[in-house]
Amino acid sequence: MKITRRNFLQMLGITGVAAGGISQVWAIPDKWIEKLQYGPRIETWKMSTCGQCPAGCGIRVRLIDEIPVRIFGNPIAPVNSGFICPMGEAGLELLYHPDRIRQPMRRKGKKGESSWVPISWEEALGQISQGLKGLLKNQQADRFGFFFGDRNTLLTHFAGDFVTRMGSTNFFPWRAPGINELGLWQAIGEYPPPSFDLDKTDYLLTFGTNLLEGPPSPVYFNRLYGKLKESRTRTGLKMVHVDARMSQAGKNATEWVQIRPGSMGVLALGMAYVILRDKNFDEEFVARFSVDFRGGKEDFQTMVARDYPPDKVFAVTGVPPGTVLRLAREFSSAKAPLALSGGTSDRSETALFTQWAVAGLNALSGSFSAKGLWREPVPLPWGPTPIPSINTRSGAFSLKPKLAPDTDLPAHWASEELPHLRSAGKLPDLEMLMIAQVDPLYLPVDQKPWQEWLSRIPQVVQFATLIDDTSPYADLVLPATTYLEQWDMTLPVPNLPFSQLGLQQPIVPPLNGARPIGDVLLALATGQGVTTLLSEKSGKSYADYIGERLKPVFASGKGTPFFEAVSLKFLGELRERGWQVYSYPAFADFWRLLQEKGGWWDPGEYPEAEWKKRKKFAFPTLARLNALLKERALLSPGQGTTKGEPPSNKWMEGPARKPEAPDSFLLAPFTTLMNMTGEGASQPLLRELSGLIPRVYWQTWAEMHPKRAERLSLKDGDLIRVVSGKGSVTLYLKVVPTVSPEILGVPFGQGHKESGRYAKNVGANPVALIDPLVDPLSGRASWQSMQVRVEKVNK
Amino acid sequence: MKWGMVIDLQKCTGCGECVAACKLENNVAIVEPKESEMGRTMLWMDMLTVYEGEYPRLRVRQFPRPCMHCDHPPCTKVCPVRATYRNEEGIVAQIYPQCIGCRYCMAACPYTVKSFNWYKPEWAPGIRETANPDVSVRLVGVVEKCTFCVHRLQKAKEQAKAEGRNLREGDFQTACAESCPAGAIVFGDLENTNHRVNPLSRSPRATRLLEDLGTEPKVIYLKEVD
Amino acid sequence: MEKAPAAPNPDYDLLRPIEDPGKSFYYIVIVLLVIILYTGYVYIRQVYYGLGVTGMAQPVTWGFYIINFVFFIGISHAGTLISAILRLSKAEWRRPITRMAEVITAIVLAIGGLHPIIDLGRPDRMTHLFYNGRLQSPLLWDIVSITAYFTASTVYLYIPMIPDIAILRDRGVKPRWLYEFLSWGWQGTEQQHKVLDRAMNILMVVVIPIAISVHTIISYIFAMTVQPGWHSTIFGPYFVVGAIFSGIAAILVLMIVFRKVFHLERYLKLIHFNYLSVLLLVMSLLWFYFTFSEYLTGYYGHEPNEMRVFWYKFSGAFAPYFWTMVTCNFLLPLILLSNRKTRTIPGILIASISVIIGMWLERLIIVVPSLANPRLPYPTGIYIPSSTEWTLFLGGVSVFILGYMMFARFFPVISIWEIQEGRQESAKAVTERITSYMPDPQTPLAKG
Repeated sequence: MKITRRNFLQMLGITGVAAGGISQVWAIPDKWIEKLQYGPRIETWKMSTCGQCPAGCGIRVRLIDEIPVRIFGNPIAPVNSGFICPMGEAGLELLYHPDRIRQPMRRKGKKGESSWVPISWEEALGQISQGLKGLLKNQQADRFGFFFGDRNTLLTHFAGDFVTRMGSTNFFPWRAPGINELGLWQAIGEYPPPSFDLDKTDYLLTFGTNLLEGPPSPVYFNRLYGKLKESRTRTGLKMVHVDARMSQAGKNATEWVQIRPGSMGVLALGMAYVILRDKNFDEEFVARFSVDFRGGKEDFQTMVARDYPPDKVFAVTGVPPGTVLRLAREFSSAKAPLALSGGTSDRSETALFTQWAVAGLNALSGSFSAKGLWREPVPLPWGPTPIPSINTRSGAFSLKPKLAPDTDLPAHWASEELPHLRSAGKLPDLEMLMIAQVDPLYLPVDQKPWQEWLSRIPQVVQFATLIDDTSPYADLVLPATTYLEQWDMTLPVPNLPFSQLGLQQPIVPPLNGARPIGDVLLALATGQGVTTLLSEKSGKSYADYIGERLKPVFASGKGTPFFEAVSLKFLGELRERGWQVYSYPAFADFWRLLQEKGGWWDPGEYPEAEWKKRKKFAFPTLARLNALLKERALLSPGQGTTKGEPPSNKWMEGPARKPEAPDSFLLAPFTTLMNMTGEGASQPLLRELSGLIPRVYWQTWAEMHPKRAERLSLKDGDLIRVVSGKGSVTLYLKVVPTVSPEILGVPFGQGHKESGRYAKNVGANPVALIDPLVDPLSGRASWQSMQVRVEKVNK
Repeated sequence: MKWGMVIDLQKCTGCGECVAACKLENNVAIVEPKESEMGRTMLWMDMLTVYEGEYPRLRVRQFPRPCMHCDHPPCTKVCPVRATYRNEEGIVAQIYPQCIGCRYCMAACPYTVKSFNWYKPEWAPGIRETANPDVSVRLVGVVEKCTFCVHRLQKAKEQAKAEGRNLREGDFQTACAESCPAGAIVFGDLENTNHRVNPLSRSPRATRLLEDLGTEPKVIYLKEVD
Repeated sequence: MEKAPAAPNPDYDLLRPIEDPGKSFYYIVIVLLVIILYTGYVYIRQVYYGLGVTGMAQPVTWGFYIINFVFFIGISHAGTLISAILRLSKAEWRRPITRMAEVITAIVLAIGGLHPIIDLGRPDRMTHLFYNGRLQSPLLWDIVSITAYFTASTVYLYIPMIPDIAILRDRGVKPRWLYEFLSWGWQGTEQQHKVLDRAMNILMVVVIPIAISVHTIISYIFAMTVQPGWHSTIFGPYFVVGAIFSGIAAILVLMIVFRKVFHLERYLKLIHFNYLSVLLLVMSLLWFYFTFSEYLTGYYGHEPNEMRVFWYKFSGAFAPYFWTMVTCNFLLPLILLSNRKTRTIPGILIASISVIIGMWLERLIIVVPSLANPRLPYPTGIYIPSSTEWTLFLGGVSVFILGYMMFARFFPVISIWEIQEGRQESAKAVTERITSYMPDPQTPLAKG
């Protein structure tokens, strides 16, 4: 992307006019600027919870004359203990973003054109209301759907509730699955999966799991990694990272094992082979708590012994037999070994197989028997919440109190496949689709079917703070508030061994005509005569809904608002200064304390996971895998079992590819802490810092191994064109030894077509290269193992 | 009193939070992409990477790099107008209104920590106004660098004075130390034995960047040992 | 001395360009003025927008301006230093050359001295140097030494010009007020000659250490830092040698140009070129000696950062410039000037131009690579000068040409009175001097 100073300045001016669609009014009101310049400069602090990613870090906002000037971490929030990440830091840049939408807008031209007519809120809500009314009147409530970016907040429940009350089941949440989520769902049928406590392990093996640069909670895990890295010099804790690219997780591990993308499950089973051969496995767990390990023709043991000897594993994964042997022996002889799968392994065609194999490895090596390593998430004291699910046979989405292990999958696994499900006839033709908190046309989905699908829906309503890549396909865009202007409640972070609720409260009133999604949904529901979203008649806002949900929490007497961990000495000092340790006799006090402290948590960790109480652990077997392949065929239409019989072992022979030619590579997109799923791109600080480590600021780069670069006579800083069958992008080459020679690492999160001036047309999106394949077992879209070719571009 | 910083590389995960916190705390300008490509990105706190060995024995060392606040700073020696100087508490300070922009200090700094305002620093509309009010926004043509968040020291001193007590360890923390999730950055008075930095700076793992130059940096790194 | 000669003085030919500058003079002046005005505009633009309009960045924070600063100041050593040394050593062949050389100094010094100001991010705060100046900073030393040098060399240029200005005054050349004013009431009396001689003697002794100090101090700007490739003790003499080297080359080029344009073959004879080019050759060898020892010590020290800069110059991105420099400064002059057949006017011209180019490259090679290769693991810096910097460079050269042309338009570039003095007196003086070198015939050697 060539941007000269002049046209950058021009761009600033033009997008300032165009994006707003109205006039060049900046997000920050003029009055505020005046106040900041001439005000009395009174400093205040407000507690809230970060909404940049689903991690739920507590934040402490510094206000001068009631105007927020900086975001810090909330020192008493248990998940982040006062620290935040760069994305959290940059929150105000989102709040004050000059391109924020200020008024509801109706698309002017055809679908796919980004030109807008501003309309009033009344008009917009009226239009939606009318649409909904029409659907309800004609008994076509199932023609209404909601594609919702799940930020792990109460709003997801609320939106699900809204959809249900409208009489529809088409609630499509979207988010990245948690660590181990796919594998443990298949093995023990539990969602959410048991949590783990990194503190307790003495051998951490991460299969593509990058806890440091993405969900579930980068701050929590960076903190923990810091501690573990320091203590491992004394405790001998080993941390091994298996991935094609040495991400931050690899850099901070004690060892990095290069592997071909998509073949991690094979390595896990290869290790299982060695462990079984050595007879050094957790016999007690296997015997008491598992099924399908042995006995029967197609059991786990037979499959592993037949298909996964080290030399075969080497051929598929590229990991030398010696390494497989060593890893397996080290891992199985550790006291509390812990293998995690997620991150890059989530986004491959073998996502579920890999995670299941890793779960099997855990079971085999005694991880599940290690004391305190695995934890049982304790449900919040507010009763069960319906879980969005998809039925793998009918393809129907619904909200259920509990998922059926045989037929259901968590809905967010497959929500990127909506257009495919539609074309397979499994989804009704929608009349109205709402989209909130997610930008599907930027994500690694099959773009064309999505565009077509969205074009076919007559009423696409999008809630957005900035015009994004999806907006051109929306008919109505409603300005939504940012997390700094609204009420919400973040839920306990999956995979973490304790419970917390983070309160989001408006740091400032909504700016420039934006409205909180919760309140808009409430107004729409009330307009339809649906008042049951709030049980109490007195409540009128989404904040009241949060209050209602919290009442049982208060009544249960469990947990406490965040509090300072204090020493007696400090407590004495506090008393001297006239402070009190708090108590809350009434709900009002509890609510006030939550606002003051930023949230609620249950001190102490989750209890140890008990295997007696749960379903037996099912090992992956060939028979089961092949059965699942048939059962879930609908998740991956046009893929997999079409031509004759499936290969005897698809997982050995299929997806792990090698580069075919001297100038070809396997594309391995990755996420960075500054950008995660692409939201960071709208904020200048994160745009600049996204290339902090490779020192390529504002640009999208490609990481190549020095040996390959040398052979192609490319050098650091060259411009390269990366070409696949699907498209091509031009990237800035970074020659680093932290990628395997077979892959080309490209960061995800840049190359937006919209999303405000700082993101628009800056950098490139590797998704343009990907022909999205789908993991047939989970429905997860894959972005690994795309064959790409590299050409040099003359500057 | 001698303010100093200890960065434990065995703890540092290279997340870059210190860099982000520093940029916002000190109102460091974000230059536009074209400028950035030329190498004019302004980072008071930077993150450097060293690759050691080859796979499978490849180790990647990442380390945050603030200003070293040398006790014998090569930069202050050459400044023609005393726009950069070492104050009595050991902080190498910059006086922006004094700087003539000759960039001699930048050329003289062996750690390359200084940034220059090649153009008038620009912020997104609204962001400039809501920038940290405690730190002045720089003008075009002056050199800037990490100040150990000296504005926080001033505030902490005022606070301590108002409360009629001496400065305590936690009163003055730099933005990077305060925000480091891994707890790798510790800041304090190197001469005060009660401050954590004091024993840490005498750790056998303690090392300084380019120690042999005799600049006596007050940023001490604790080496990564595995 | 000015007893109206019966026949017209042959040396008054030298006044022709002043009395009748010709049309082409004005054309060139206009062209140069246009360039200079544009340069002014470009500079004002730079002041307005900031140094961002240049190609400098981090870590290469010094670029063309500092390179040209060192380069121009280097050229300035042509003049005063050489003429002072030649005068001091009573080299009689100096007479037609000295003034040309001194003018170079005065003009180029003014241009070079402006460069650090052009380089400032905040030229509006220049006065800080006076009321906040730190004498410990090499930049301050520079200001002092350049100011001193400029003052000394202009005075040193002006004083020997007084008798010539008086000639112009007496011939009624316009503008009369200028010559009237500048001639300082010169009547050519015995007393005046005595004072003039005395002043010149003092000045030439004073000016030599100042000139040497100027370039030594410029080298100190670099040598006083700890940067690899800069922190070197021989930088002082190395820079001085380089400066004199480039200075001689500049004089030679100018002499050839003036000889051609003003038909001065009678004055600037082959012998002058021969002497000067031998001097150039000597300096070339000396330069090579310094360069060789500078890099050899660096290489044997094998300090990693030093080596990074070393290889950057020898085989890295700067290798083309480095080897061009070696060719221009050493190989080409050596080949052309050590051979009598090629030590002709064209040969000398080529050698001189190549030395000027080579010396400019040397400044580039000293300034940029050390900055581009920081000690810590940063990526190697890139420096691509922008059009602003090129324009300002071109502007600097234009100012030099214009300045020289203006000087030649108003004053004789060859000292008339010194030539006359030479004609009338030096032959006798030299004979006497040479006789005094000879062994005394009266006292026979003791036999035994």
